[in-house]
Amino acid sequence: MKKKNEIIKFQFEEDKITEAVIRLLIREGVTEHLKEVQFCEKYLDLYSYNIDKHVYIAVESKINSVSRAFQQALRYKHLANYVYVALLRNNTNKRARDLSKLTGVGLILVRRDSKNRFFAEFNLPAVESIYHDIKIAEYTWNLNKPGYVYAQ
Amino acid sequence: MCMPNNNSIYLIRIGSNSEKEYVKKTISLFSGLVARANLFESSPGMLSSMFLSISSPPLNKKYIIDPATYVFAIDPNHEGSIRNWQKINKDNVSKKLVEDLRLSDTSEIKDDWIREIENPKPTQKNKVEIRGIKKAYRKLADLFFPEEISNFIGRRAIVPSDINQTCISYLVEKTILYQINAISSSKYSIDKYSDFKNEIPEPSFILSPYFNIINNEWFEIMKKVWKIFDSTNNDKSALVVHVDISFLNLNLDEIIQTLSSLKTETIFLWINKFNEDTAQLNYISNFIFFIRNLTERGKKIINLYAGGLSPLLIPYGLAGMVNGPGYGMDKDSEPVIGGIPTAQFYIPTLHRRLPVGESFDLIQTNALGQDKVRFHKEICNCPICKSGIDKGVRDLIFFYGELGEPQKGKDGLYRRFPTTEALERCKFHFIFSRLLEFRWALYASQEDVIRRLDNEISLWKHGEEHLTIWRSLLS
Repeated sequence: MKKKNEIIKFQFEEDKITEAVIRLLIREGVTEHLKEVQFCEKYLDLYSYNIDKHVYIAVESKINSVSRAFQQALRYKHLANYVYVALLRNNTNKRARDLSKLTGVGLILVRRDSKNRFFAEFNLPAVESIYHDIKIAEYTWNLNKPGYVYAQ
Repeated sequence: MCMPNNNSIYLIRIGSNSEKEYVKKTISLFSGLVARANLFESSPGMLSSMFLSISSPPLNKKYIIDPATYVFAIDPNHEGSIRNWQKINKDNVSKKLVEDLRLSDTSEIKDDWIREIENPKPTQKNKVEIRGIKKAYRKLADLFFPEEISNFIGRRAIVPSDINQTCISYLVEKTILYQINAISSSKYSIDKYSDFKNEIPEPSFILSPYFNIINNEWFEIMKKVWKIFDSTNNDKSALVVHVDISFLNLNLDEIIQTLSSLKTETIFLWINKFNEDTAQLNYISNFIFFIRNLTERGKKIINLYAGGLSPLLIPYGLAGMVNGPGYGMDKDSEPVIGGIPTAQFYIPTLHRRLPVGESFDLIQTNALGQDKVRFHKEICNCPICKSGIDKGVRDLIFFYGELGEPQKGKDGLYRRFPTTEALERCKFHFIFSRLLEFRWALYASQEDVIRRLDNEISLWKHGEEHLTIWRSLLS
């Protein structure tokens, strides 16, 4: 039961990170967001679309397991022009920065204040994915769109 | 006309009624059909007519009934075991449990054998669920085992100390008779085929009873089973070796020695939970050694759950392989149930089956199959891929990974599942691509296998580690 509660707590915190990233992207002019997007058998935490620039962004949010976050994020390089990992700002960020530079996956760090509010900011930029496939991106976006559009 | 280098066989396994369409449509391409005895007991009509039609002219295919006796040595309290939850009228609960589990008047009916139905329909108002024993397994237990054992089946697993010499003789005799007479003695056949009862063909192989060899005690039991079975001296006899990979690893020489001392030539092999592409190097090495060594000693090994490596072992002596439609490349004797159905794509040039998304990712990362021509050259040229992959690897998502409308799961969350069509395509693709591999292997030499592996290793820059291991062990 303890393990199950821990998983729920993690999911809740990951969702808070994702919400913070959405607020960051909105500030950057990205207005379309889908959470928990299904791509075949996998689920992407956040899939965003910049209508003006026709750019897709994929974000993998994680509380811990830095390597796993980057591994999972790399799976979405076909779906998005830019792929990011979003993590809580803590002492594992050095490893995350190394992996970000190595993989071209961007890094977003999320700060939690004393009132348990989350604030996201870009830490390292994402390199544009050479694998991005617009047809697959459009298919995945449209498939997940009904009923899932994030309402601010 | 070019002749194959060997007489290896490829059998398809039917695991449930829902798979009959796959079997009907493809059986002419296989050497025959395998079904477990419990499926035969729950669908005698469907399987009798299928066995009869495939084993008669013009198809003349093989058929085999797997006695699957190992299930009685698995804890019946395990989910997905020989017991299951059955809906029953409240008034009949005790009677049914007493009958199913052969309880005496003084036996206790445990609380966790009965539960209320979750969200009952109006017609289920007077019903509850009981943890009974599946009808097919109850019947097989009574047929295969003497009363002192069959009476506790369902309440606990059989352990080696339950099985004495008399019991083994009984078990061997009954499983042989069962397989020989399954069709002719089923109620369905008695009614339908009474006029030509004597012409009903027997199975192509009669399999020995078997249990998973996980330790020395079970090995001792199986040695006795094989010995008595061997003495029945039927030309269709086949031993079944069901062994845990770690036990095989530690006792390889003794197992080989035991099997080679027996007269029976054909051996059906099931290495428990052995995945041919992800297993550690020494396990794969011993698996290859087991097949090559016993083949040299005149045995014919048929892999009951053939993985990615198996077709490549045919030029090295593997006498046959068995797969279900779209699965069955490895199997754990402990039942695994539940989980969300995922569409899986078999990558023939990698000899690996992965969820469609993972396959797509891996193929893309290796920059393979980027257009139609390259896909059919580098990934797969089976008839299903030829009909559905038109623009390269991207079509994998649309064709094999197609998702249906969102459905609410038990956890209250909405998810999309693969469409029936996508799952069908994946299964037919698996069947055809494996058949193409098998047929290639029939005409291939050991040098051809090495050349093929070299080509495939040079094709795949990522995810090809298992190919490199196979290459090093086969050369």
